[in-house]
Amino acid sequence: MDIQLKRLSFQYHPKGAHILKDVSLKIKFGESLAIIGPSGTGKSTLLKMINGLLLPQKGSVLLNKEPLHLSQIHALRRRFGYVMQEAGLFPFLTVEENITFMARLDGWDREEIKKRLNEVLDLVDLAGRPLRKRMPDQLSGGQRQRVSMARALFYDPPVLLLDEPFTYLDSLVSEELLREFLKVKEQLNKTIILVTHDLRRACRLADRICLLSNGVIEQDTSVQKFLTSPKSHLAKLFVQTLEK
Amino acid sequence: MKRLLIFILFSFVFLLPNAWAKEPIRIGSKHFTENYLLAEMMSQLLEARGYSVERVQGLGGTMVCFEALRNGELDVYPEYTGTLLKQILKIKNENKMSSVLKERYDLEILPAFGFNNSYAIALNEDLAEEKGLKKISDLKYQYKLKGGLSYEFLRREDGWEDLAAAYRLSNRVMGMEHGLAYEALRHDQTNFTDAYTTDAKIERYNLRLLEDDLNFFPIYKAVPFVQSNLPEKVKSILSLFENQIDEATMTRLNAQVEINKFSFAEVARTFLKEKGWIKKKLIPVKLSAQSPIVVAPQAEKKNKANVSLLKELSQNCFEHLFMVLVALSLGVVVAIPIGVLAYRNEQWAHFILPLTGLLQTIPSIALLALMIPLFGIGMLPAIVALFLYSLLPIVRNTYVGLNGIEAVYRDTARALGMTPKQRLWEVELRLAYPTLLAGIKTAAIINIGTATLAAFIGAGGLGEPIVTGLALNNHQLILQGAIPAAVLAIGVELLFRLFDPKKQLSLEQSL
Repeated sequence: MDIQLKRLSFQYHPKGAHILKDVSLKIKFGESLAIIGPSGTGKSTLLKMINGLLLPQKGSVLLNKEPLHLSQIHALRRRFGYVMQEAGLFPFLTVEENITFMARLDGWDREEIKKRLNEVLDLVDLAGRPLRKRMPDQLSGGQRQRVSMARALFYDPPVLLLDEPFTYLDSLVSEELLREFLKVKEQLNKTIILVTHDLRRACRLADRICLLSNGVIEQDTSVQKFLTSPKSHLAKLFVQTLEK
Repeated sequence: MKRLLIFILFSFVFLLPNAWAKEPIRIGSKHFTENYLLAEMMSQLLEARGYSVERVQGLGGTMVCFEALRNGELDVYPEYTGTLLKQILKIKNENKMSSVLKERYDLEILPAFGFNNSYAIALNEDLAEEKGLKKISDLKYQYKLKGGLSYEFLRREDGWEDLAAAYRLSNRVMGMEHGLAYEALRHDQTNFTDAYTTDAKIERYNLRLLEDDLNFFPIYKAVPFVQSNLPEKVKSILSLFENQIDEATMTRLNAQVEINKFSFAEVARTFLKEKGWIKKKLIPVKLSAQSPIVVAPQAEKKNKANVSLLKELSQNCFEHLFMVLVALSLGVVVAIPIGVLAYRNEQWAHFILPLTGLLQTIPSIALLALMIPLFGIGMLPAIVALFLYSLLPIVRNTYVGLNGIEAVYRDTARALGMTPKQRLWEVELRLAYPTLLAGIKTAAIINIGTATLAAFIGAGGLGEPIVTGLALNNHQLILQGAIPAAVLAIGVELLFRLFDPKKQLSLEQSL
């Protein structure tokens, strides 16, 4: 699925500051893009517009060149796997209930669900571990993110949206999770859009970097180019973090 | 709503299986000793003559009884001529009373019992002696004395306001429950109160009645106040009471209940036997739920009293729980959707939440009284009132619980592709469940407390011994209702712990 954002603008209050100003972006199917930038620059807002969690006040979102239709939005969202900084596992469901929640609501066959559950647990390296029946509050932060990842992969969506998945994890666990993402990237042909302020991990997962600052795209280029010739002051600051 | 009402009506049929089948004569009373006694005498006499009787005793005041009679919820209750003239008909000419009653309401009065139970002003004998008070006019110079008056006397047409105007009194007065007014007097919290001239408490508390030297109070002759369409046979049986009870007799009978602690049923039976209207021992005295428990001297009697205490207690508890459960179930069914509506639409919330709050501010007794013209007396209006009271906590907690859901869960549910309906049922309500449950629990506990007041409109329940106990100033009886009510409230608290959300977490099928 090709994604095209056309001149998006967004503000939470009509008189408030613009979170996004006239942002345009094209993402081809199979690309892996990292949107980086300081906190509060509209990275997550931009991500939420891609699957219609937020609607732009100006501009439009095109999926395979078709504008996003509100009438099909619920079905459409199943084609985006979404992983958030807080894993967002429902506290009243066990691990496997969380992962299979939508499929059960959609009335999937039991056997089918079981089969797919084993596949996705395998993908995120949870298959062998006896935590299927555990509640989310009995999991570590890293485990929770993996379960969230498994849930996001359940419908085999063409696009993965990763919204600051490393924020609440220590570096060791982040590293582990990153390896899972890389594995998914290698094994499955998916568009991956990662929002983060962690350039180091962004570089390892993504092929392309998009620097967002104050609602505007400052630089949009390949990882290689971004590292060798950062354009703006902010871009240079980001690159410097890698040298330490 | 209509279906629910029908459901409640059906429940009534199950609860009182005999009530409608045999069309018993429904005899009501207000909640003071003498009125209970007169009602009980009429009931027993009719039962002795083969009629079936339903006792609806301890109703909360004149208007409750009158409205009930007028709406056909009662067939008979003892009323007083003065009250009829001044408060109900608001006319002056006593001779026109019968014709106006018939004409306006199709009601009539039967020949009077004989005694005149007028209002009087009573105060402690010691105080009266010390200040030299004999007549009501004397009060004029004792403006520092404070009155603790029954609410009814404070408000009624021939009550305090007119009395004070007629005698030019400027004393400070406050309203209180009549049974408590005597206690306040005894402990010198107040200095005088309104009393009935046949009141047994006058002797018990050593009170002096001030002479009504201006003849302000009208004559209050007790009469059976009945539906005109009551069978003539019944009317003629009740007319047997004509002039059979004078002031002294009535005061004595009142004292037997209040001081000697005999039950209404016993005192009434003894009186009817003395008159030779019923035969000894042959009369099966149905244990009315209202009759206070008697501690009799003989051990055998005591046993019987214990058995009846249990029976009465379980009956009261059952009625109480029935009212609370029906009202609460209706509350849950109605309030949760309203709470969801408020959550979904912020503008509606601005309207819904204050409205349910407003309902809560109506005092319970007032709300119960407002129900009478719409639903009559008994359990139905009580259930409706309790239902209205259960709305606020459930609506509010539903709203607060849903609004308190963390944004991450809402975003996740949307990102997964759930429709608004799925989000509500599968995620939001389940996350709000603990708060919602707390709201239902609050409503249940409020209902258990408020349902004790339902006895004022004849709904029974644990309020019945409390109301009777207040009328008799009998602490044992008050506790007989208050303790089980408290136990029920604690029980509800414990019961709700069983629904602890942590135990409810995984109801989904495991795979």
